[in-house]
Amino acid sequence: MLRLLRSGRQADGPSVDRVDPLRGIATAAARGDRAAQRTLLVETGSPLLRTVRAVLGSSSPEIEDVLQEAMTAVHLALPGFRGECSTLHFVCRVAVQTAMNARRRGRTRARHVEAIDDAELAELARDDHSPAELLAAARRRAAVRRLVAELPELQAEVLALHTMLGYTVEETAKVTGAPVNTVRSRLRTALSALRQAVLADGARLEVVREDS
Amino acid sequence: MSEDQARAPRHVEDLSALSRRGALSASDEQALANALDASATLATAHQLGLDFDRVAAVKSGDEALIAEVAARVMSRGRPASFARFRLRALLLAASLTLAGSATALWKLTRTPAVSTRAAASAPGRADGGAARPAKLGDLPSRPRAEPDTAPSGLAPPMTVARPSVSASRASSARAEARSVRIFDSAELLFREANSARRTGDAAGARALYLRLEQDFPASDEAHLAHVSLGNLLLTMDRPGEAERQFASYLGGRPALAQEASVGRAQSLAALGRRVEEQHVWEELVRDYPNSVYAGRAKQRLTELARTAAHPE
Repeated sequence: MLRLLRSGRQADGPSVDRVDPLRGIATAAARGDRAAQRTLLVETGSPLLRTVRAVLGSSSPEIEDVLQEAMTAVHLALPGFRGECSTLHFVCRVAVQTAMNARRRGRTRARHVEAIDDAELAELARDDHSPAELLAAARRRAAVRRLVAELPELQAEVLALHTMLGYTVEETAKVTGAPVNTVRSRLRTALSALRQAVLADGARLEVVREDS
Repeated sequence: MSEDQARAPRHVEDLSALSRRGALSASDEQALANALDASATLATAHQLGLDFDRVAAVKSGDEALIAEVAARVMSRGRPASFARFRLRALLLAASLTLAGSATALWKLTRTPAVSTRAAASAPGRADGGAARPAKLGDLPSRPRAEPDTAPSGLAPPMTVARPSVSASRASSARAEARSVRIFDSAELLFREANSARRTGDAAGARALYLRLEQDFPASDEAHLAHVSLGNLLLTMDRPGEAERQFASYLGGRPALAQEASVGRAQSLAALGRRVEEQHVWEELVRDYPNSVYAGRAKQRLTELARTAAHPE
């Protein structure tokens, strides 16, 4: 595998696109170069996995399966990728959609299980912040995940890309192919819903202020 | 960020996103603070973004999981092969090595702050130097091999108990037994080297990794051994040797390139080679702007710039 990775880099050549360093590998992968396909999956594996974990929660038993679904979806979608956004944003969007679908499939069950992620709770003793603060943060993340499974799909996607992955409005517009103003409108609607969801949980009141 | 982006008018949602990347100017930070004051919805969203950033770290075993799933996706419809299992074992071993060494690597340059905070927060630990229970990620032991170059201008390394005389003798006996053993495959040798490292036999592990690199130079195990050995050498106060191991691994774009870059930068820091260290961190930020190590790299670059501006 390591040899394949090295050969993938060599095939990419010495000139690397500074704006999108994965573009060369993605192009070769889209042409059917198997070494490049594998390289791309490994190179984007960490952000894919982080995206899946962000949407599902760190202790979800579905993480490995959904990661595989996301990688398969990236593999299948590559030939249609025209470079409208960076390769990394493209694969992360695929992961968001895959994980959101998985989350929606399990929505009914999720309503009846503990909302706070066990793995995140386990981190409480290893952080510089106070356990109370970390617990509140874990509950806020759980609220966003629930909301992503409940909002209309287009709003949920924009919310996930912005809140979980930190995309700007313009980046979100590029990756989704929607106009900037449409994205902003969806985002504001989703953020309002998000605040209502957070307000509904008394434990999270510490970060929520009443509008003046 | 491009010049176009820098000139573009900022929207409040974008200020939040860019702030999370550390990409805002002082004036934009002030604009964000004003926007957060003015909108409770935005303030909530910004806080939630920070909440997600906090848990976006790589975990031990992630490299192995990613490699395994990628291999599975690539070989859809094919029968499971021994090579796949071997790959998983290889990367799992590498991940464990990295997980075990990451704490030490970071502490190498962060020791004063971490120690002070730990001492201040631990009840009954006013001296900050009492023994503490072992945690996952701590190094098992740290044999004090002869340093190849004394660290200069750096925080003092962690202090750990020296191994007892009897433990040293037992370790030497194990190393001697390993040194005469014949290994007919890179895989066996790599496994034995990892085993020696895990049991705290640093000298024996070092010898086995070097033997692996010499006897099976073209094997995947030998290539991966550069990272394992580099991390081991850092714990042995041999940053010069460690730096060469990481540099050897970093040819091309290997799977653990980011981790090896971090290790190399830490080695150069320990050697006091600040300019080269800065160059490695800058390359990491440039080549992997979305890396989980990018924040650490930027923080260290800031420290280096501050040191350069105000030399002690």
